[in-house]
Formats: sequence, structure tokens, C-alpha cells
Amino acid sequence: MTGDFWVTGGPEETGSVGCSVLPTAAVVSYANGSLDPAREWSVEAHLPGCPACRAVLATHTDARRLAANRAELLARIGLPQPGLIARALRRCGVPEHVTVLLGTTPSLRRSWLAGMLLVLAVAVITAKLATVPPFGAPAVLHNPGMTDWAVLDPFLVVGPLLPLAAVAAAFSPPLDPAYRLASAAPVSMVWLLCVRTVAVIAATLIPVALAALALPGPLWLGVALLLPALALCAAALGLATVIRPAVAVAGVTAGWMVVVIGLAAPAGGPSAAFGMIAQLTAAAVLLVSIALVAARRDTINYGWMG
Amino acid sequence: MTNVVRTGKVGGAAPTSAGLTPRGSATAGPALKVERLTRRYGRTVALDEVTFRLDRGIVGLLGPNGAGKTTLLSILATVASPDAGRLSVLGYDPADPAQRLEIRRRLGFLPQDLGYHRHFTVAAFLDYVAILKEITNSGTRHAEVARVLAAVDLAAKARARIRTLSGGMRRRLGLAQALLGMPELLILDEPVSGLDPEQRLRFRELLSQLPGDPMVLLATHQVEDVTAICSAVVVLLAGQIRFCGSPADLAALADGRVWLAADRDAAADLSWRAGDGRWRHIGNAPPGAEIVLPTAEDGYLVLSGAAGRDGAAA
Repeated sequence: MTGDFWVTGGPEETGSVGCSVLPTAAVVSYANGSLDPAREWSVEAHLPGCPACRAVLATHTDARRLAANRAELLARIGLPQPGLIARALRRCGVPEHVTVLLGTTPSLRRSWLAGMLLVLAVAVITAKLATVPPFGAPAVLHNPGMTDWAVLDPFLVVGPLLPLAAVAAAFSPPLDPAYRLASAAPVSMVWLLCVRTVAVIAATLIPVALAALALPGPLWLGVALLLPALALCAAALGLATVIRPAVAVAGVTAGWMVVVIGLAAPAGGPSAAFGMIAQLTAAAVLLVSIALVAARRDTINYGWMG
Repeated sequence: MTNVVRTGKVGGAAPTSAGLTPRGSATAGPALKVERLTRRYGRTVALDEVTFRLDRGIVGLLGPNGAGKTTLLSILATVASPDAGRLSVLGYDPADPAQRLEIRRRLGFLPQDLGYHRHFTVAAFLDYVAILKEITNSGTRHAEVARVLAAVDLAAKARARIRTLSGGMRRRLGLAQALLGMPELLILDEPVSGLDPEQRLRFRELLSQLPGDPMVLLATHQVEDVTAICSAVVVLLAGQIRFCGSPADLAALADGRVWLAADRDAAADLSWRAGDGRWRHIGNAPPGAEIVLPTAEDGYLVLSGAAGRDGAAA
């Protein structure tokens, strides 16, 4: 380090008391944060070995600025490090603040996802066991009259409802204790609805589709579940802009069960709810519901699922 | 239904029939204008044609439990909507979605029950609320989190889980989240409940030194806090506004009705033994009593006593 370094564009005063290297003004400028980064680093390299400059620094330190720096440091330390999924999302280009919002979505928490996986596992295992005769029993006597489709019934009823439950939970006040704060905040509820719904559906539909592939039924079932599941979510959200959201979710759930169990039974059981006509109907419901949400977006408020 | 309103000399006249601000434009007029606001929960009338207007400053909202304070604050904070009536917040109409957004951008709200996720640390909670307040740039947001943490003296607790904090610390955290983004209007529901005397003094100091000189509306049971820092007081009793004026005018309601006597007077509206052993009476003069200057608390007690009698008569 030379004196020229400070003379060129730096403070003109040279030689602080007891120090032949740094001018007092340089230390003062360092103390009030007005040095450029290169000079800051130089001062910081010099300070540990120079008691005179440290003494100058001590008398010119801005206590308020130090307190603010300390508070910011503590705040940054207090922020949790992003988890595995959040880091992956950021690498995919998802903005940092969006990953924070997703991290607070009730139905994206580990406990919720674990519960959903448990439900799926029970449905799959039940179906698997139902197709295998009990130990020691002759296979021909096992569940007489039950078809392969019948063992899938519980899964076919429940599977498409899981994303709906997750979407409802994503906006449920009892599951989001901070909803009252959020409802007075300016964040766009429609935007939040879209972000959380897409994330929740993705996190739920993928395991449901994979579980469908593990069932003893046909492989196309995993794909056939997707459209009805999406239609159920969209229908609930669309209806929630017109009637009370809790009633909308309950109504869509009841409607699905009536369709799958009641109306589809004469046509060959719940599997009829996933045929071509059912797929076209689901697509129509999906489009109409999205249009309804878009048209009535002003009615969407945080906590409105309560 | 009769709605008796005692009106003070400052802090805005009440009630008013002034028209509300036209949609889409914020004016430099009263910060809050409320006209015949009504809210019912089933058969219960929480707010009964409430009307008042308030200028900027620190305003205390006094009233007993169940008076409708939280309902009123929730409506002003755009969290709930009224069944009837009109209101203007900072010149904006919350019934209009676009103007409601403008209110929320200028609002800091501390609800009575501060909800938080169990896994939140203090800093993470503030970070989350800052995002909800549209502070999306991480650098700006973290600096803002640090600023409010320092303001409420919680910086050292930034890493602590909220569930490990004391009640007073949680209240300060609630205030910190309300301060995020330097709001123009602070609505605080019971901000001092759970705070010890020293923290309450710090709270007063903090409110008196807020940057940007925002309007503050705080609901409280503590009349002394109102007299210490508020420029205006609104008294809400049984869903009706009974007073809107200065703390001095609230005290003046008890002029000539507060007495000190050696013995208890059974005929007094209210009486209690003071620290010096004498009895403080509110009501007509007991024999041999000495008249004293009333406080704002006396005025509030006179009002609430009158409301109680009105209710009993009804």
C-alpha cells in the first residue's frame, strides 16, 4: 500500500496520529462507510496491525450505523437456509420470494405430503392384497364375484380427490395461522392462488399417478386420472367464487362420489368415470371453471376457503 | 335505536354526514371516514350505524370486551366487509378492489391474535410478511426485516422460534410486522396487552417516533396509554360510538362528578378505595366529599356507566 493510493481520488490529508501509512480521513471515511470497496479492503487489511488507526476508528464509529448493521446481520442469520426443494426450484428459475411463499403452503408441508403418501400406500396395498388369496386358501374361492376393477374402486374414488383436498388445505384458515395477516396484505390473491394451486397439484398428482401405475389395473389409469382430478380442483375453485368455498369443496366432493359410485355403477363401475366421454366432460368442466375464476377473480380473498 | 355520541373539540367532529371521497382518488381530507357502518353476526349487532371521521395522528379506540372494536378494526383493515354503510380509508374506498389494494399497500395491521406457523423463526416470519407486502427484492427485504427488528428491540431474537417467545415479545413481533414497509396507516388491535410497564413505555416511545408520521389507530383497554400518546379518542360501547374527541374532552365528561370521601357512598355510580385510603366516587356528591379533577379514565367510566344504564333501561 502506498500514499499515492489514497492521494488519487482519496482524502488529501496524510499521516494519522501515530501512523505513517493511512491518513486519518481514510479511517474516518471507512468508519462512516463512504469508501469504495477496494479502499475498504485496504483499510481492513491495515487495521489489525495498527493500534493508532484502531484508536481513530473507535472515536469515529457511527453507533447507529453499527447497530443497524448488527441488526441486519442477526436478521440474515435468523432466516432459515433454503431446503432441497427450494434450492431446486431456484435453480429452475423460480424467484426466491416465491419459494418462500410455497414453503408456507400447508399442503406442501412434509406432514401433509406424508399423510397423502400413506393414504395412497394403503389404497395400493389394499388393492394388491385383494387380488391375492389369503395364505393357504384356494385362489378360486377368494372373493367370489369380485372383478379386478372392483378392487380399484376405493382408489378410483379417493385418488382424484386428493389434489382437491390439497388445494382446499392450501387456502384453509385453520391450517394457515397467518392468514389474517395475509388477508390485509397487498399481495395479489389471484397470483398466490395460481402459484400455490399449481405447486400443490404438481406435488399431489405425481404421487397419485405413480400409485395408479402400481395398481393391478391397466397402465393408462395413471394418465386417465389426471384430467378428472384437475377438473375437480378447478370446479371447486370456480364455485368458490360464487358460493362459500367450504360449501363448494364439499359439493364438488359429494358430486364426484355420486358420479363415480352411483351413476357410473350401471355403466360398469367407477372405471366408467375415466372413459373417453368422462375425459371430454372433465376437459369442459376444467375450461369453464378456469373462465369462471378469471371472470370473478375480484371475489378471491386470502382465507376465503374458510 | 338511539346512538348518543359525545363529541369533543379536536380529533375530528363526530358524527358527520360528509360525503365520501369519490372513487379512484385519494384526498388530503380525513384519514378515516366512516358513515353508518353496520355489521351483524347472526342476530348479534356488532356495529350499529357507526359514524365518525378521524384526522391523522395517534387515535385510541376504547371499549370493553365485545364492544365491537375488533370488528371495526377488521373492517378498516379490509379483512372484513360491512353489511351496510360506507367508509373511506386514506381517501380510498375499500369496496372497490383496486382501491382496496391501495389501502393494503399503505397499511400495517396487528390483529388481536397474531397467527404464525409453528416452524417460523422471528426473522423468517417477518421475511414472509414482507413478501406478502410486496417487498420481493431479497436485499431490500432483509434490510427492512432488520430495521423493524431493531425498532422493537428484538434483533437478538431473530433466530428464535416464535413459539419460544414470551407473550410480550410476541406482541412486539406483531408490532414489528405491522411496521414493515413504513405504512401510512397503522391499525393495532390491543398492541400493549401482555407488555410489562417498561415495554409499554418503549411502545409509546416507538409510536411517537415512527418515521413518516403515519396515522395510528390502536384499540386498547388501557386508558392511561390513550391519555399518554393519543391526540384523539374514540369510545365504542355495545357497537355504538359514544365519544369522539381529545383525551381532555373525555376527562371533561366527568367534570363535577368525581369526589374523594372518607367513607364509601352506596349511592355513587362507581366507587373504589384509592391508594391513600380514601374513597373515590363517581356520581353525585356524597356528604363531606371533596371534588377532584377528573381523568380520562373517569370520563370513560362515566360514559360506560351511562351506557350500562341505557342498556338496562332498554
